Amino acid sequence: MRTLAFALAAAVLAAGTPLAARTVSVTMPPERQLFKDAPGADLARGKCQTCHSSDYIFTQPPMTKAQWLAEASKMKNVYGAPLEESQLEPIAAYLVTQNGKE
Amino acid sequence: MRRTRFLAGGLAAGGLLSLTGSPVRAAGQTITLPFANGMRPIVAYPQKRPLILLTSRPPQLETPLAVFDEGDAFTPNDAFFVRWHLAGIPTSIDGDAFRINVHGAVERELSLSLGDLRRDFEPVEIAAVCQCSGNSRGYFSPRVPGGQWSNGAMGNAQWRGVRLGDVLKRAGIKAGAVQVRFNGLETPTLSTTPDFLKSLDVELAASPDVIVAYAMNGADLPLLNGFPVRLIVPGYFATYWVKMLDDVEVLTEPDQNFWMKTAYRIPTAGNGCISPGEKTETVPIGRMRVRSFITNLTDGQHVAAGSGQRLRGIAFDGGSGIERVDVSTDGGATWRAAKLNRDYGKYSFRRWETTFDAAAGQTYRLASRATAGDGSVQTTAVCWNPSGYLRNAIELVTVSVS
Repeated sequence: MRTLAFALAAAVLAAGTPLAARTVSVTMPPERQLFKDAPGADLARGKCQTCHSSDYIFTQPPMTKAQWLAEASKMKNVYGAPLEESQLEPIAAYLVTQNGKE
Repeated sequence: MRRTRFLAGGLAAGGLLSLTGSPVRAAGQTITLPFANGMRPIVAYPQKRPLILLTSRPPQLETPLAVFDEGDAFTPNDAFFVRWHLAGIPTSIDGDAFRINVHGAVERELSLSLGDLRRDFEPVEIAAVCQCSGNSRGYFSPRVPGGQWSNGAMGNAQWRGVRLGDVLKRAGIKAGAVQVRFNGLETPTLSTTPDFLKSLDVELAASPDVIVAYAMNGADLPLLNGFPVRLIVPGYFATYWVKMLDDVEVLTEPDQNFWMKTAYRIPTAGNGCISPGEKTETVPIGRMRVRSFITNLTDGQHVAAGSGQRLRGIAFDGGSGIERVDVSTDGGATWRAAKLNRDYGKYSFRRWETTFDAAAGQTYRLASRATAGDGSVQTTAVCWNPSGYLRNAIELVTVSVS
């Protein structure tokens, strides 16, 4: 293994490009927690944040409840979010309080 | 207005100009992009200088426009934009253990280490712009859902690697192959979410400019840009530039996966640009459209009076090269040619520059208009489609002279 690594390093140097690091490890910064307390907050925190940070909601343009319902339905039906049909309306009702318009 | 420049690789704040012209921006500060809900924190992610944070998990980071005014035509690795689709991104990668598996309709399955790539294939280099399909989505009117980018979901790099075509040749593509599908180490949190897979027609995949890159601007790729290897599809939107590429599958039927069949598609009508509510067939997004940006002045900025005010920027297209860039100081009523700087190839940013006379008390509506080698030219017509793709209209930058 040592010989192989040496040969690889030599080949790479000959090619004039940097040697790829053997292992690269990074630590991501903590994610933002933007959901504010209101009825439905626990549902949003539990469901939406399974797959993505809350800033996915807050960087969208302000949307109507109908638009948030469409988004929640897309998350369930297209991206496989573990939402019950009965949870879509409460989630939309909460999201419109967070980033909504009439 | 006095400006300092943001030094490449530096983490010091103070040099960056925001889109609105105010100096800034260190980690912990914010920037407000000019559309609703445009406030963004400035955050330093691993191997990155402080950038505009769109979302934190999966991470999406935008490059401030002033970065494109730095140095030459290339975007520094530590300022290059970041866009992932799924939250399952490895935060540690063992370069020695990494393998790219080639399988499907091939004569010989391959499992290639990074050493194999570097040792067994001819290295090639290409300068190419990587631009998110949804770059500039925040400017769509009416607004559309999706990642709300300003204009900084793009970057230009010198990519080094091997031709995908050479890899496919070694595997031996079987008769009847129609597409090649790519997968990376990015995985969904839930098994019910479609894994991120992208495909290219086999002719494009085997064409000489498509490469498997192991270096970016002379260094390893940052992990967030796809370390250790990334697919480079010059001229095409970044959706095809699969990061942490570890799986190449030759298909005998067109790919039916979600990210090809449902997502990342543009209308067939109107050359991809339609009216809200209009229904049309769609096709997978493909080549980028010609664009240009002013990089040294920002909208709303005050400039000093004087002749010979510098005006400069970048231009690029989907692979025919930049033929000319014209500039206007009167909102597009009259145009004159800018000087094109060094040509790094038809897929690269092309820097351009010129000067204009700034009279005291005047306001100038500055614009740049690029013409590509294929004859396509930017216009004032603003593209709209429900996914927020393909924006390439002439952009206006209004400055006033103090």
